[in-house]
Amino acid sequence: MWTFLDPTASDPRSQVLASIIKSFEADNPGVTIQVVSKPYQTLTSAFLSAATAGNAPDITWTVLDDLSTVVGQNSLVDLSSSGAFPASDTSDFSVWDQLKVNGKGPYGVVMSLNYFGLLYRTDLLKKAGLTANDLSTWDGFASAVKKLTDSATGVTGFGQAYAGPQGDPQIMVPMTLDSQDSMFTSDGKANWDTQAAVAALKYETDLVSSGATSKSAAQWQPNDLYDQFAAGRIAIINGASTRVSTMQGQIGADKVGYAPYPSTTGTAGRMFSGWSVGVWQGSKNKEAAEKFVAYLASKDSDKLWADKAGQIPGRKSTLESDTSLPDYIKTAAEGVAKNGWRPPLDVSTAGWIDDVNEAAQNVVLNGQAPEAALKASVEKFNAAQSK
Amino acid sequence: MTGAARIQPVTHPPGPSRNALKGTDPGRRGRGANGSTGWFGAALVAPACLVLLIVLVLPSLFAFAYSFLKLNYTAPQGFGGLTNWNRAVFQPEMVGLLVRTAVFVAGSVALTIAVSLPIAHFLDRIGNRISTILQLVVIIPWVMSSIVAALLFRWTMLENIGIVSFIAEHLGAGWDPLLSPTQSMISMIVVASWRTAGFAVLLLLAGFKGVDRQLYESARIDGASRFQEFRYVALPGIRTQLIIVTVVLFMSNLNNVEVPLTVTNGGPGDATMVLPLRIYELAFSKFDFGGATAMAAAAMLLNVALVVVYLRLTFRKR
Repeated sequence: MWTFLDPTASDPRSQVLASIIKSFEADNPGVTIQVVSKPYQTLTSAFLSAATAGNAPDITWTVLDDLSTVVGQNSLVDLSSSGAFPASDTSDFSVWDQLKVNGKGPYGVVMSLNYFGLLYRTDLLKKAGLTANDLSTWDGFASAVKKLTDSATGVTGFGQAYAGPQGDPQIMVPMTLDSQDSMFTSDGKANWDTQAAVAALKYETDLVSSGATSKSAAQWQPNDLYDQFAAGRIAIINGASTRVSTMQGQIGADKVGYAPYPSTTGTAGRMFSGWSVGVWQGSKNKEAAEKFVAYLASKDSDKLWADKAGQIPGRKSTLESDTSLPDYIKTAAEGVAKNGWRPPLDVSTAGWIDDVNEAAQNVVLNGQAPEAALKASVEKFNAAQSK
Repeated sequence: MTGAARIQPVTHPPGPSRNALKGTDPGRRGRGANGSTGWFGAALVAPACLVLLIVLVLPSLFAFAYSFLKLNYTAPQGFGGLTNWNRAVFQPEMVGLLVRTAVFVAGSVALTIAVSLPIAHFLDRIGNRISTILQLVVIIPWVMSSIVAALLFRWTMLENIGIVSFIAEHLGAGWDPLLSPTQSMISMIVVASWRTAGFAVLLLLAGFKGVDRQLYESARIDGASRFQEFRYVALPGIRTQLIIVTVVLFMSNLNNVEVPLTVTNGGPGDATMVLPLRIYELAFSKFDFGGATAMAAAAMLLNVALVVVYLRLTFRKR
């Protein structure tokens, strides 16, 4: 199996993976799971090359954004007919049908579910007389981050990161999704030069010009934000739910809160991401591989991922029965189940976030108007996709 | 008349003649004629040639051939003609890409040589023990992982976090190494040069060590200053090493993806997007392997063509 996790490492997710492998091997004598850990950025391309060369691993982890690419090369097994996934069981998954491509599939089970939102420093909010409730509307959010910005102490209210590669979606995405169903048209073309998207980009970049977000957003990558956040130099950052436990471990559970993005409707789509664990089409051990993939997402394993590694449960039953889950995981899990949105899997959308963030860079650094920056971004994405 | 006007570049003892290199030098023909030395030499270099063939020549040829195939991601789907080339190489964006690449490569090579030449000359003129210690110091950047080195620089230059930005801010310099297009390019050149300077110093130092000491003495007797010794004695003596360093640095920077990727990732905007980074982006972010292969094949041709032109110009001058 190829994954970005390393069962010999000490981080919670790797430890859980090691423990699941151990249990599976004990339950299935004669089957051994060999893990090759690879950098997450290169997993897809390495798998694509290996599949073409005929020496890919039986099981691979694919980031959801790249799933259509891998399926497009006919490299993954359609799990819908696999005996390891009875329909009575798959109805329990909160994300199952979303892993279908062109009506076929799904081509994997979701691991490391991630729901984007706001990570905030409870201590800094309290000092400014604010609570998470003040972040629930866009106007309230803008006022709050301005109030949190303090040039005397060097604290900025809100952190964003526009630099890639493979950056995170910034707040213009959820704000746009308040007014439209998707960032893509029905045929998979870019749809972020709309009036709603222009207004959202203006809102996002106005935070920079007002000083509530540092201009450094143009050069920061997501990891820079977490460093600044941990150092107490940024009060709220645009971030991933999977990072909450790490941040809490680093600076204290009582100092880190997680809130969904502001919303005007309360029901608009919010982006989730994650990893799809699938079986290679050319595998000579398909049956055992499918069995392990099912084991990885079984009820027992799902609870283990949630309890020991702080992951969003992939099963509705875990969310309902596990009373020990922290609030932020419940918030994120409910968000995925009710409002979860992700780019279409029927077409390749690789690199779309970097293209959207480049528009923000051009507004902040080159003084481009949001309309022009988004138009150029859309043209760039569509041209690359049509190639 | 000044001393500078009287001093002429020293003519160093010649290396092997071009005929010797081609195997037609009468002085060498005798040994090669019986065949034994020739076959023995060929046998010695054969393993190295075989390795180069497997890890360098064949992959390059495959990559070149792949650029003419229709690819579904990485899977060949038949002959595609110039489709990949038209899509990725013969595009207006290539002009800007090549200009930025030229600026980066020329800047990095020039800066590296400008820094390493005086350092190597200085190391050649000082005591052995100190020179050895300093050689160890200057080689550190070269032995470091380039990703680690580039990351360290990025952190020092990040606004709000980095020490360079902190100092610049407190000096009122208004320097944003990664926010301004020009300064980002300069930052990238500085990082690339810092990393390769150690290699250049060692190679040039080897050249300086080979210069006959008596030539320096003669120059001094003729009244040459330190600079004139360097300019008219030392520099002509390290011509071969200088060519090698230039070619190696040139190719190393033309194919450098780690530094641009780690330090600026092509930004801000497209200001530091250079050819190798664009190839990486096409292949690993956009999964356009066909386009990336065509661009890589074009880069390979560019590499070969520029090195051939440089070497021809250099040897013509000799």
